[in-house]
Amino acid sequence: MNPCRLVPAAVLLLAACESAALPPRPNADVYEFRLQTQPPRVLRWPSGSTIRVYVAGGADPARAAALAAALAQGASAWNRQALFGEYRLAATTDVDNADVLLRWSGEASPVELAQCPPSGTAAVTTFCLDAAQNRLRVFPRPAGEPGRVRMVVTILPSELVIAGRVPLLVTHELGHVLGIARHSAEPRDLMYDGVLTTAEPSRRDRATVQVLYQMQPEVVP
Amino acid sequence: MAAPSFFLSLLLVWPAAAQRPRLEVRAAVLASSTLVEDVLATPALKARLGPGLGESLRARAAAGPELSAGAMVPLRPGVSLSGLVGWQQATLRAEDAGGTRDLQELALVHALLSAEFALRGALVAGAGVGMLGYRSDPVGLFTDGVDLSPLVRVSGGGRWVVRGHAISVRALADVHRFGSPLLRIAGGSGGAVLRYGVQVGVVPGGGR
Repeated sequence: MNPCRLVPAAVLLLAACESAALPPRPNADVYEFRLQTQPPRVLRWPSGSTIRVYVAGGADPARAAALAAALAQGASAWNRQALFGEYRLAATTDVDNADVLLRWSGEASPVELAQCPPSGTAAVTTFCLDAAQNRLRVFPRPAGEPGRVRMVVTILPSELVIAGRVPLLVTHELGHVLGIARHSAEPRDLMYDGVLTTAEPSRRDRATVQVLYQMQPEVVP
Repeated sequence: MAAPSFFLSLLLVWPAAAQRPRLEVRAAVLASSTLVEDVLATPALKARLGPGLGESLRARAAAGPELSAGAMVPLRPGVSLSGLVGWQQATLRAEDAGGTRDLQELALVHALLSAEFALRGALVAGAGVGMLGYRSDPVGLFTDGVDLSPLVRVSGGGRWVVRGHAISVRALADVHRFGSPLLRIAGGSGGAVLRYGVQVGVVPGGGR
């Protein structure tokens, strides 16, 4: 064996070095996600953020468990789309450290909602811009303690009567929490503005959130 | 490719010619090429979204130390065979228009069978084949694990006897494939990763 035959092996090593790649997202796979301001603006959390969600499940343990389970499912579904650690949705049991509140409508809220009240039907994500219009307002805590909740997700308890509906709604709302501020017109997408058929982000949902997190943010929660 | 036939011929002569195996320990610092590149958007999408969209995003393992240990067998004068198990610690790092940020800690574990030839004087050249796997927290690209990959390594350097021990210093390069289930779900394709660096080795008593 001639050791000089190692040279072609080394050349082959170098020639084979095309790295793994993700293909460019086509125009059709990314629906509009920017805030409906004039002009439209990009809302998203800073890259690498852990977004802490506090579940206010109410007095009924079964309902509280249902909401916590829906959060776990939705967070996992969206976290799988963050290939490069752009964000991480995580549950927290400390409301003072929470960025997002997930609650049933009609239940007592651990933050004051009067200045930025939820308004919607089955499920809604609520946030309000601050005076400078480039940050989100903090929802104050009732006794004036410092808090940091900037988004409130409200789910209608009557949705519990339809099996599998609450996880689907929560996962959809978590898309808004991440910064997808609009809806998709495609019924197969999780962010569709109509009757939802899937609790998993579609190819277009995935492309949209991945592109969103490579945009320069203009409104930061 | 040269390496497989090379190993086959070595293994055939081994039983007749091999001496007693000796412990071998190697330490290296290895840098890595890009693990995954994401070019984000087609020109049409970039045009629609405007200048706020970055150009691309790359993830790579930052340079880190590698330790390996195993056994070395002198087959015949000037030829030795080593079986080594190695472990590299590294940080997965993302680079995009916004800068660089650390994502997660990685461990790259490999098993390697390599042969080394004395060329002229202290000069040596070697080649090896093996398998490599990644270990990391199940987040991001690693959520559903990462494929186990074949590994090919070449090296060149010098070997000296110091107080009865064989000491070596090598430049090395190796290549393996990186791919993961989540990457494929996202429409991506696996690709090659080149690692390169400098390695120091010692075979205690190997100079006697």
